[in-house]
Amino acid sequence: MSLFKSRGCYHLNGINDTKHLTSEKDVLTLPNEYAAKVYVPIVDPGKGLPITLSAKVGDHVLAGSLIGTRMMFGNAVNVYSPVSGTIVGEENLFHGGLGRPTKHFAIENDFKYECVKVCEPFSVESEPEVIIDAMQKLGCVGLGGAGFPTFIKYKNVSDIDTIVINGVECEPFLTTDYKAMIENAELLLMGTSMMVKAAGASKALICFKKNKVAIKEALLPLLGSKYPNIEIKLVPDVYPMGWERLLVKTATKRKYDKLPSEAHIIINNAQTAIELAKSSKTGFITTHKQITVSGGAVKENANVIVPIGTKVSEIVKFMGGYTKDEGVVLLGGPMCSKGLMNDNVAITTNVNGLTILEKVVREAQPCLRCGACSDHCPANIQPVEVKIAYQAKNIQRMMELSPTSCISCGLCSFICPSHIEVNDFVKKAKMLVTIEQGKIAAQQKAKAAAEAAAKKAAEEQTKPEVVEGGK
Amino acid sequence: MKFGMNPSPYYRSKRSTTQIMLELFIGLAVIWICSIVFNFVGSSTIDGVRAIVNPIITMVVAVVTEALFMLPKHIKEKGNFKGLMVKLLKSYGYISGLILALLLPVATSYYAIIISTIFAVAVGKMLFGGFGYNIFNPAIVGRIFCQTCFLSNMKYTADATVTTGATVTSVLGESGWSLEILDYKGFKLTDILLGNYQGALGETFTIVILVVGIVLMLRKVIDWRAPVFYLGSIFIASFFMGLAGGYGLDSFEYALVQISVGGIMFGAVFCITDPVTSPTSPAGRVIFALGAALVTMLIRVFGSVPEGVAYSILIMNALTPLIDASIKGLSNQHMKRKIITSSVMGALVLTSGIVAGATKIEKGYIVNYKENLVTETGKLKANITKLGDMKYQVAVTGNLGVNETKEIGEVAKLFESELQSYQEYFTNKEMYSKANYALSSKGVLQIVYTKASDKKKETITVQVDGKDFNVSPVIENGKYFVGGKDTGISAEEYPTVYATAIEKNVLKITFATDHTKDQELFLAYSTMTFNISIDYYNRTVNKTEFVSTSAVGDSSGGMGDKLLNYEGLYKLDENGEIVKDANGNPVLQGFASFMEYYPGGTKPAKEFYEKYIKVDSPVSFDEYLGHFNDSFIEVNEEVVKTNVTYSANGYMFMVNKAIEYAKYDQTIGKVK
Repeated sequence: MSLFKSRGCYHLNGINDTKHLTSEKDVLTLPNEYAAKVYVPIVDPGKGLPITLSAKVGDHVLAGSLIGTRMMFGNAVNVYSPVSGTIVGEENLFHGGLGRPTKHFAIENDFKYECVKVCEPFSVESEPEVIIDAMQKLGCVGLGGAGFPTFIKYKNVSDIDTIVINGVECEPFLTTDYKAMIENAELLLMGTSMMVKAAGASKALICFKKNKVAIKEALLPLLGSKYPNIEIKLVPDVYPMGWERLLVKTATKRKYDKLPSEAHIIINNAQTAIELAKSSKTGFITTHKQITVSGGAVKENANVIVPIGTKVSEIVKFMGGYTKDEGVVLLGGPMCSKGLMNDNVAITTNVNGLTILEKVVREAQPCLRCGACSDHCPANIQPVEVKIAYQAKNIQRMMELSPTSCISCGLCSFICPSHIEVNDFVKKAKMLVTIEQGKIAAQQKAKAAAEAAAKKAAEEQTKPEVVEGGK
Repeated sequence: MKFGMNPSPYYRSKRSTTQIMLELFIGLAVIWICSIVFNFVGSSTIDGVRAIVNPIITMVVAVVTEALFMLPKHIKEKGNFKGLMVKLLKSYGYISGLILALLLPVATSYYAIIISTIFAVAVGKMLFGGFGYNIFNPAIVGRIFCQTCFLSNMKYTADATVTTGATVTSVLGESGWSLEILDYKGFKLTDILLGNYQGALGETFTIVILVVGIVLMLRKVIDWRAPVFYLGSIFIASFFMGLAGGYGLDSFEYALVQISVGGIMFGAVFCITDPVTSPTSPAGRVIFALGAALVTMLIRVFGSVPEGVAYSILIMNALTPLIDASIKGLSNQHMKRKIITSSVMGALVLTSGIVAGATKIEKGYIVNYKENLVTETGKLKANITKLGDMKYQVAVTGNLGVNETKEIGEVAKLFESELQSYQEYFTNKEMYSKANYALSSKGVLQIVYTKASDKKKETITVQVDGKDFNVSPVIENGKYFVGGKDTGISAEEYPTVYATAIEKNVLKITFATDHTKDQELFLAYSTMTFNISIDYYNRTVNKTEFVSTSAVGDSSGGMGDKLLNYEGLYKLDENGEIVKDANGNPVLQGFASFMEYYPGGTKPAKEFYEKYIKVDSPVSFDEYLGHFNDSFIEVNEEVVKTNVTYSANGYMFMVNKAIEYAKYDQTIGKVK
């Protein structure tokens, strides 16, 4: 109970019921026939710009063949073909992250899954540089959802003391991390200790919700003498516990301004650690991804291992198809993800689930001003005030309320008893404020430039006068 | 499948505004039920029925008013009846209606209730755009409208002549905010906490409201910050108010009383928490609540109306947009500013309490007593006014050319109670032995405070025609001497005599004994009452008439218990034998028939005494009869006028008489 601050989290009612749809079921594997063609986006998932291609249509590729590179913070991030086969063409597919159709390479799968070694196998004993280099070569990205290249977090860091492994999975319906952590407990610990080594940290915290007892049971026997520097940290079952900032605060009581490294922490998803450990044995890239297919509007609910690049429509077909006439298909959990326009979408590495829900029409009531959104916002925004300012088109007030801090977790809309799309208002305000801030920055820049020019001109003008006066 | 595209998130809480409002309604209904029970049991059937009917009226009127506002748009949109019903259900007019009904006294006239409700909903809510857009709390708007326009209609019981002025809060406000006034008025702390007193329909049940409030807070129907800070700050400020007023440890009780009366608890739980009219941010709510507490304290103690809660909420409602606008940035930013603002607000509330305590509390203040008396010689008005601690002034005005103001001496606290409740003074043993009054022929009244436990120091100085008399107790040869005359009364038996004017020219004279010192005696103290008709001008007693005798006993098994406890008496037949029922048990009888055995009565007293009273007493009948010596009844006018100690109404009466007497010229035989 904080007096002036928001609580910053909330236990989502019924979240565990949604998770039980898939958590106790066996993990399925997508049969080959559903992955005859896989699709690799040839644009940067962050900015939407084309990537530098190193393959072209018609090429025969193996799993691990380089398709192109994109640049991020001055580092080259490799994009690989996830399967072996032939690039048969370029197709425009909807991209879940960018939210618009983008160019994809269509690769005809030859079902051989021949792999190319992209790096030499490595182990915990390897030098940190070797591991970081391997991360880069393997094209490791965060598998929790954001898809941030892992190696960038490790490159050029010096004072990291703790690795936080994020196995919280606070979104409803999703159980992929949960299942993966139980089934690959050994790999998880191995990958974690590699990360500890790579960062030069002293310990690692594996964090998951305290009601996920099965993970604890799977991990505990393996810990001990073999992994003395790995600890289990149980966190409460609240949303958005999986958000880096909240997790770091809860698990280590540390706060930071921009990046976790400020608090001497690197945070990685549990599946990232597992995949790193898998790849370390062979030097092969990650070719498959385990995703949760769940929600009320799909026939079968289960975790499925699918080749990266498989189309959503094919996966749904395998799961028995849609059960409702009108629904929402989401790449990821229902809280953060945006609805897809169609199911002609390729699964990328960072997708951790497919939530298919019946469309619910909610009639918004007038705002009660109950302040529940302000009282729970993890970013401490006052969403209701932002909404009022947005509706009043009061850009000054909007800027005061800094909606740019919004992490789009959706908790404000979730909690609103009047069913108002609060988060939508905050996002719109965020956009307006970003534009306005850009304008102001440009104005200031122009003003500064003009002033500098004026000053210069004035100086040039006054100089001869001074000289004259001297005479 | 068709792809839906509404904004994320796609997983929503099932909790809705309607659910919140229904839970609030249930909370209010609990208070409503309490008020129905209270009015049926504690008041009258009419009030009980009104307690049921009033909220129904306000709810129906509120919903109908809303419907009238909605109809034009609804017809334009060609909506059906069901649609309108859903709109009305989600406009929550019935909640405002119910709150308003609970804020109004039960016997407020119907038209006042109806017009206030229409005003509340129409002006307070619908004109601003309906639910969610109103600036002011509609129920509070209605309450203040009613108070402004229909004050004389706001009655607390159906047969009451008192209007809204006579609430506990206003009694406190008019009486120097002294805690003693509550004892004096008969308000007990437990009654105040439980709501066993007259007030607005739902505002009195402090503990029930508190419990409902806690449940609603836990269920997240209302935010905890506003009520906790509002109640907490008022409690602490009142505690310091009590301390500054000199109540010491009683300040705790003082603070409890303060937050229990005047609808503070109801306002804290149901009005200040109205989310629509209060700020949205946590910090804003804290500031809002502290502001409301400050305004409540100021209006209560320094304003002209003691009921500050409604006004404070209305004022803070108006400031809500300002508070909202002042909370900038993220909720974890500007913490210093928020803490400083809240601390300053809190300090202001506290200061208001301390200043109020230091300047407004008049400890020991009981009543600013005013009573009009009509005497046989003309209209005389005697007002007793409080001057300061224990100092009173009597001002007499009338049509006899009398116009005097006299300062009278110190009075015991309880003397004031006696003024009020002379009907009951014998039930309070301490009361009568503590305060004695005397009257002089000059109209200068001197009242000497005496302690019951130290009777020997008891002195009453009476000035009669400028000459001092020691009145009580002058004991010679075991007899009670008054004004230098032997009264023939044993000093032990009747140390005090009270006179009460019961009608024109008739005094009720009561002789009271106090045997508390002597537990051997079977009477703790006993009284004997006569009505005496007196001609004041001729100073003669026209008629004496025995009224009754009674006694208040202690646990030593005296007659007192038996006398006062009706059920302890047996019914007697014509022969004085106890009437027995079929089982052979004596039939119990009332007080009246028992009295027949006493002097002036018709039955042989001795027989009865021997048989039934003297069961466990060593006192013989003759000794006992000493209390009821017939000769004593012949009290002459002299005794009444100069030597009697007066009480209560008699006191008032005699003040007038004294002034009159002073004007009476014996030589010419009429008033000067």
